[in-house]
Amino acid sequence: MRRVDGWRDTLTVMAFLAPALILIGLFLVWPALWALYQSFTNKALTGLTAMNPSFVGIDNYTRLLADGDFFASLLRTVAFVFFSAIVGQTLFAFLIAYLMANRPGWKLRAVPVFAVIFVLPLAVPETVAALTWASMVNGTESGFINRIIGVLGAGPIQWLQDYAMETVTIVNIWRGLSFAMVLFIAALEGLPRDVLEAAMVDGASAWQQLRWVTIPILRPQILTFLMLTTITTFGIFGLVYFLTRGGPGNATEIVGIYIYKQAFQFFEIGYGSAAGVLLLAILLGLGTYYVRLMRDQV
Amino acid sequence: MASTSKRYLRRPALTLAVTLVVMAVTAACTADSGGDGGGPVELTLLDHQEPRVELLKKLLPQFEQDMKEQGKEISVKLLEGPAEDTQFTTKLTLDYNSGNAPDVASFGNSGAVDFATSGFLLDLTPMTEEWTDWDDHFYEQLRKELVQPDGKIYVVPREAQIVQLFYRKDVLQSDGISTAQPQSWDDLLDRMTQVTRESGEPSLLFPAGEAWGGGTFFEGFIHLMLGTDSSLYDAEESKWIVASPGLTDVLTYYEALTEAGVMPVDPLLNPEPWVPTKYEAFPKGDLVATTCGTWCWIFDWGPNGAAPIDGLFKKVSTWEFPTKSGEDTFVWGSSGWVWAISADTENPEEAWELVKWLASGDFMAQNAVAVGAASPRDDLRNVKPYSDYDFLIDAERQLPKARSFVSLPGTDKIVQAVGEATEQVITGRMSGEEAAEFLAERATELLGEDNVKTL
Repeated sequence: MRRVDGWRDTLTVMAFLAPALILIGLFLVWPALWALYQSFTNKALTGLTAMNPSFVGIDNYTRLLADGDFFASLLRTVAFVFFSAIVGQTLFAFLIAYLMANRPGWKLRAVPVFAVIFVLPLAVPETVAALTWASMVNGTESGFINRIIGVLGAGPIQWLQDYAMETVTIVNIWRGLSFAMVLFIAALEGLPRDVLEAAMVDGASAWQQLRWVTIPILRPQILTFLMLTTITTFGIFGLVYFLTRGGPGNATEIVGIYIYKQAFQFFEIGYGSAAGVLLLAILLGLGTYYVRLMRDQV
Repeated sequence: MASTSKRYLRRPALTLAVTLVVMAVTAACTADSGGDGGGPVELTLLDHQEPRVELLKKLLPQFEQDMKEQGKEISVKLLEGPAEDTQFTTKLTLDYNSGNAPDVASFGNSGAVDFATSGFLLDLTPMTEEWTDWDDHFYEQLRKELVQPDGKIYVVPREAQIVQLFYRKDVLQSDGISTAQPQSWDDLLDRMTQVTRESGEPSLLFPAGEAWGGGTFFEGFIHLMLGTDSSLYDAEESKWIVASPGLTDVLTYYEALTEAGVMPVDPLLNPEPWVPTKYEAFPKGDLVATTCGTWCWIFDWGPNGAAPIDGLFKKVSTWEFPTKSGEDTFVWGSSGWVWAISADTENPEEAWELVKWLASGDFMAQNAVAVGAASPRDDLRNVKPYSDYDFLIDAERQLPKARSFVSLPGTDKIVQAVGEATEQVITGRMSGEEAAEFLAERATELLGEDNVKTL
């Protein structure tokens, strides 16, 4: 690779990077800065403060840190991220990828068929997925899941009433499996064969190969996926909103829905922005932590 | 080699730079230059809900034709918003804030004060002063109700609503329970407790909780509050009364309804709580009484409604709202939906022509029948098809004596606090008295200490 040398090279590089940088600036950086600014005002979408918002300093943050509902939504989100993303998506996707990947001494038949089945969630838009699942877990006898358990003699269950958080967790696991699986399959099939074959020759069992050879080699990919899924799941909104709107009560009101309600239902833009900025700070912290973990690995 | 590489790099960079400049210039040239005034005018109109939109699609060509005959070339582009009221309100609010508002929009009357206070709506006072229909035909109660705190008028009624208790008289009769007008809250609770004892199902619905949005306040809470001797707002001091005996009585009554098992709690905690209650349990006869409005005869339970009930008028009847003390039962009467013109419209005169047309004669009569509403003006009783709907005309006759609540700045915050407080009660997290204290604190936090008082 040649070094960038001189102002002409710099200009060329910037010209090629410019479109991407402009888009990132316009749609990511600028909105974040604007939200930060709004978080120090009492801006609302209706009422007197819609026309004349004023600077209120850290009042929004003070109120937020005293708001039990905000912390409750944060705790729910942490639990949701842990069970659906970290445990559910990562573990299940790894297991499925491990079974599907070609490795020395292992080749599953009909892999293309399984691949289509497991990649399907990725092909479906989030809203469509949520509404389809809402129909499937419908609490009446005609709901798809209830019909199946009805055949087994069990009564209709109000899934989104009695097991709302569990249901949205399962739906999110299903939704995130595809991407995780694709990532892990690629990583598994990229493992150095000689290392695995050497382990087999040395008499290592399948579990020992997995525990002491495969997982250590794949640690960077696993950490990368964990970072991505933690951050995206923390900020999730559409899937849960279209399933439960944060209900019943606020049983599934994760922080994304809490922020939406403050900003777009109660029209308190300043307060909602403060919550958004806090969430951004949390996610930056998490991202930094994961990057450090990956750097330590290197 | 280095100079050759530089030449290779320079060409694509130059090409890219030229391309970007051309794109920018092209985008600037194709920007909408807008009209200079005069000539044909296209208005945008935003509405939602299928019956309303379908009616507009059917009748707007008539408006365009009528305008053409007057020598005015006005066309209307109909925009359809999300069906659910809360989402529609969010969309409209964002449109107003972003400057992309339609010329004309229709929304619930309770939203008028916030939109007007925010400066989103055109002042219609001079237009209504010149419009003889306004004073001659619109009910005085509705005209007064729509005057905003600054003394101006920003919206025109699209319809009127009477809200009261709808009950399944066939179920009560078969259970041997009186169908006479309940006079007091205790009377109502006693009867519904008997029904629940017979059926094992919750029997009475006063909307509560956060999931119902503004409906908790406007279809539930306020009809109890108006049955007490307390007020929610002190007009002299311009302050919200966030603690009063009446408020405590209302929340204690919610507690009593919940403890007696007559309130359907689980459905109220879910998205679209009106579906399992009004659209499923009431047609089935499990839910025996519910608050509802004129729209329920058509929009909810009519032959083409969301949940048709066969033999509707034989099975369903209405009661007025009982009061705490047992004196003077009442119905609620108010504008339902209203028409408004955006303050940013480039065609205010044409938009006003459209609003006048929509608030008159044929369209208003058809609208009333399509959505199930009473006429907000007194000269439509002989206009078809409204003239064929006796129960809507009967509702219209109740307007002059009906009670209502005028939405004022801060109503949205009270609505939010009421939703949260009633949810605490129906979920058993708080007693009625505790919820009343919670409501006072929450409303004070949302409105600011300077805007509230307690009794």
